[in-house]
Amino acid sequence: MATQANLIEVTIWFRGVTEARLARRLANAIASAGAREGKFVQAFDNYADSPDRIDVPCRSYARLCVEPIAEPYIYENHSPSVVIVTEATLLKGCNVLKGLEPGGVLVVNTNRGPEAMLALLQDLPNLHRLKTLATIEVGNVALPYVPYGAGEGAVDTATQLKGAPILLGAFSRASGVVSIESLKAIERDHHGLELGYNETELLENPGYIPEEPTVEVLAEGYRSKVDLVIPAPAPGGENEDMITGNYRQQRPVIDLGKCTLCRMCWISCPDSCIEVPGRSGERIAVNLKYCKGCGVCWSVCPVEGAIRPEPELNYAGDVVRITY
Amino acid sequence: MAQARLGAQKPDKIEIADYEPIRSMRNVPTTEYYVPGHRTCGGCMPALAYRLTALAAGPNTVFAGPTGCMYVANTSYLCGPWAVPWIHTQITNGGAVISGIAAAYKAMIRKGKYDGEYPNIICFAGDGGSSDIGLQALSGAMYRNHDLLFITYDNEAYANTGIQVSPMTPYGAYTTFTPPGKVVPDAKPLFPKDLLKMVAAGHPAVKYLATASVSYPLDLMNKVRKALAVKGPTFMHIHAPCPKGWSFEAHRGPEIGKLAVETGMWTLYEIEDGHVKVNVRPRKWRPVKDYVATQGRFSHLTDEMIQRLQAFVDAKLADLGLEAEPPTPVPPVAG
Amino acid sequence: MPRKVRIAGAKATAEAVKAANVDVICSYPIRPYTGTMIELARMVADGELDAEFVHGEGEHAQLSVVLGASAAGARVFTGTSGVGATYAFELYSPIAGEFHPVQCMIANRTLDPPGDFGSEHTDALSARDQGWLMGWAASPQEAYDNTLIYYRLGEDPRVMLPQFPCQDGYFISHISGEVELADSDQVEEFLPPFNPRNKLDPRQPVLMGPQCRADQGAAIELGRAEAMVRAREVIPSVIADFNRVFGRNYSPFLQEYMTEDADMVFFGQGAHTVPARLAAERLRKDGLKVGVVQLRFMRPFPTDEVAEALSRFKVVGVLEISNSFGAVYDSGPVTAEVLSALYYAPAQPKVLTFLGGLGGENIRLADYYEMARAMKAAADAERLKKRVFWLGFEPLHVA
Repeated sequence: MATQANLIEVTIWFRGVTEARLARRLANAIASAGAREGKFVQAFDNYADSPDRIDVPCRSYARLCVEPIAEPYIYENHSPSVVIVTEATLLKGCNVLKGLEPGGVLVVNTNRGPEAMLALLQDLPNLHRLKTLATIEVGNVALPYVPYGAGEGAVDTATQLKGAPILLGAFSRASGVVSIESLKAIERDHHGLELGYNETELLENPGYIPEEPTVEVLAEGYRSKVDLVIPAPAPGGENEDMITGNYRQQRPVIDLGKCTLCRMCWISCPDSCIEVPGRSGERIAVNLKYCKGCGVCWSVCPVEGAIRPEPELNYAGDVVRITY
Repeated sequence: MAQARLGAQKPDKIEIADYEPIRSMRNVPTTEYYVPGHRTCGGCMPALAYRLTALAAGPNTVFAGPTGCMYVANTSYLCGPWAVPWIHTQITNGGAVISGIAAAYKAMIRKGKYDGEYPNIICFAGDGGSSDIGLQALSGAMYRNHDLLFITYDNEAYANTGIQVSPMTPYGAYTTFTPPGKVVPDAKPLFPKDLLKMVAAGHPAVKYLATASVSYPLDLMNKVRKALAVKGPTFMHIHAPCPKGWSFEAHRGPEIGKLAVETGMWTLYEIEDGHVKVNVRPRKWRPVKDYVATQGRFSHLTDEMIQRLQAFVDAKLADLGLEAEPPTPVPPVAG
Repeated sequence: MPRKVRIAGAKATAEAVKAANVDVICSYPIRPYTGTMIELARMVADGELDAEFVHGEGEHAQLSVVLGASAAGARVFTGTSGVGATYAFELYSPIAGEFHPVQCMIANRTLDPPGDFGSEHTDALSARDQGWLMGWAASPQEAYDNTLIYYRLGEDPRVMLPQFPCQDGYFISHISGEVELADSDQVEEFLPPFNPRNKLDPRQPVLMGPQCRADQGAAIELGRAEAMVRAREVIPSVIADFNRVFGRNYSPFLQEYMTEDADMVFFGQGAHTVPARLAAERLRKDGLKVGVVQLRFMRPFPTDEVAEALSRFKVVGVLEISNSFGAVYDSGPVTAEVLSALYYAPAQPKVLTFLGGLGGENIRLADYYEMARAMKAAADAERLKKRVFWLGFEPLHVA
């Protein structure tokens, strides 16, 4: 439900730090292209996602409106019409369709095609509002490693990133929110824009149910007080309010035949996610609910192949979806 | 091993309780007191430092956490990963808050108001909360002979605010407050403070100080145990690579921490009752250039700047009796 | 048995802190509050008081040390004056926000500049909005009593707020008066042992002060606001209890003097209300019906009591011992509160502001007479030309 009938909200989900510049570039380019088309526009990061941390799911936003934006000072896009996802495992760990407007569009950077992406969204309550799913292979936008993710509150209009024009082209094609011509006035890499525009794979969601857009009505009821002193988790337990498995793009897979139980991975894990023994009685196990896939374990492992990284998208489950 | 005396006069003998050293990986306790579930970066080495400290310290521990990543990232939002009591402190005052906690336990136990055992009281402060805005409180805590441990986890910048220079930032490093530019090509032109030496030199109550690194986890945990066993104030300075701040791939933290020790950018040593003991001394020092090459924050450095950094490292090693051979000639200081 | 001694406010406070059997004290020297700490240091050294006496490295550290100690479950005491109170400012909100009922006495001193040692209330009043109980003593006895009252109030499970018992530097802290010291039975009856809401106990671990999101901020601050409201509700019964146990006669919020037939009143806090009483007595001879209303709590501000009490008079003359540069009518913080409280009062008296005692300068008896005459002129005038005056710098012509 939009807060304003004519407001178009674009939400970009990205990985903290490594993709922050890309996300800001996208948000700024979309807003700038919209401004060229005479719209009132904004671009901003989700403040609660800042400071961003490496690989943490984050959001950047653009807003476009034919009239002045009614609520310009707000922390997040509550009801996006278009969602861009810079890295496909975010679909597994995040509710990327949260608040989606009916007829919404999802643009994903992946080489796995739209059907595979649709399969990742089956449990999301707003799936019936998704009309179009677009995929484009931009590659790993975090590589080559771009040092110095720009500072908070900074704008990256000067930064040219290889992945940005391709994703913007795909965004324009799938959503039509801004034209490719307007984007060409913003992005110098016209080839990239056209590549994205022409090569994007589009899929109409078979489960889409058309409905009339409505305007948000404030929820009834009042909030309650919150205490600043909270109980600590149990020793050997978990902090249930900050489940971090959705950071993970690469999953550590232990080959028990090769593992010597030297415990180097265990002692080196900053997230206490290697268990010796594992909870279900294995000699060693990874806590996939919290594992961020940072790779420290397979880097410190002295035995070739005893822990190897596998793409998280090769697996169906084991990621608790965050709902914020 | 180098034997040198560092610091002011030490009038009292060191008093150290029995403690159980961790002799091998098998001996490390497996009950976590810093549990999964914190919004730190993937590959965050300060988080690993926290975890190892909590593992070594065990259940009878109180943590104080000054503002910094290890407060904000760990407690986002209204939750936290510690299975022992933890209190937020301002970035300014970690040393003073733990002083108060220590004084309270001392008084309450003496007056029969607390019937438990005196706990391990640990401040886990960043380099800014220790060497910069928190220095005064750190000094106060070290001076007053409270029974507590102050740990600096050093990721060499104000990282929580988006990587700004701190006194611990190495010469030549990029931060968002020290960008390399035409006028200041070497980014950070200053050399860092020597925090451990400052604490050692001016605080006669401190009988035990140690540096540590997340890349040497058993050494780190044993130092935590020893520091907690020593009666009175103790200090640890833990090197904790920061993938976001230093710009390296998230999985490389342990490798880069090790490289720091192998190049002399970081040295593992302890000072017990005034005696310096170096814990890890490579047979041959690797050039600082190898370390610098691993991190984006140094990517703008010229050979001359790297040489200047090497000379600083050589001098620091010489000060610990660990001369590099042959010593690097000191390049002229930029005008 | 209670015994009477002749001591100044600084020492009286130390005696009360001893009576409260605090566990941790944190010191840092600054005039004029230092006398309290000197006395406490002696008591601890001599074994009269069993407490940890921590030498803070500054006021910021003082407040930090007592925060930590209170979080661990100890009853704590600290104190400061002037720029010391502003140097420690960062800690005021965390201490109140986490409900650590810390007591920090303030013996008032002007800030820098002017940099003299005199009593001005600006140091404490600049911290009035952080969630601390705050009020002024008008005598060494009241300073002694307030220390005990504030511990009881602050540690009340319904309140759990830190406290600033204030006393005018020098006037109260350094000039001796007769003080009745309680005996231990009385203190035991009035002040139960500190039972913190939460503490840093490894046997029952809690996390204190985690980061919150923007939408959780108000939800946390509401708790502090409600505690202050409850403090206002608790104060009358605590004062009644204190009067019963110690045989005193305090009003909870407003101590009135010669107000029954008064047309106009001096309204103020602390030391300056004492000469105002004498002035009020003498002015009766001149036919001026002047009374005095002493405000005992600035926080929580007794809105209803002030509105009701002051609406009985024709003119209220606020003794404004504090600056608030650029404030409403260019007056000061007390005037601003009084005017706000009177907005919904049954009747609105004329309110004059006398900025005086600034930098610690004396307000002499003659000044009170002049103020009273100005109040009389205001009472008689149809409309006022001027309502705010810097005492001694301009004629007090109201019409």
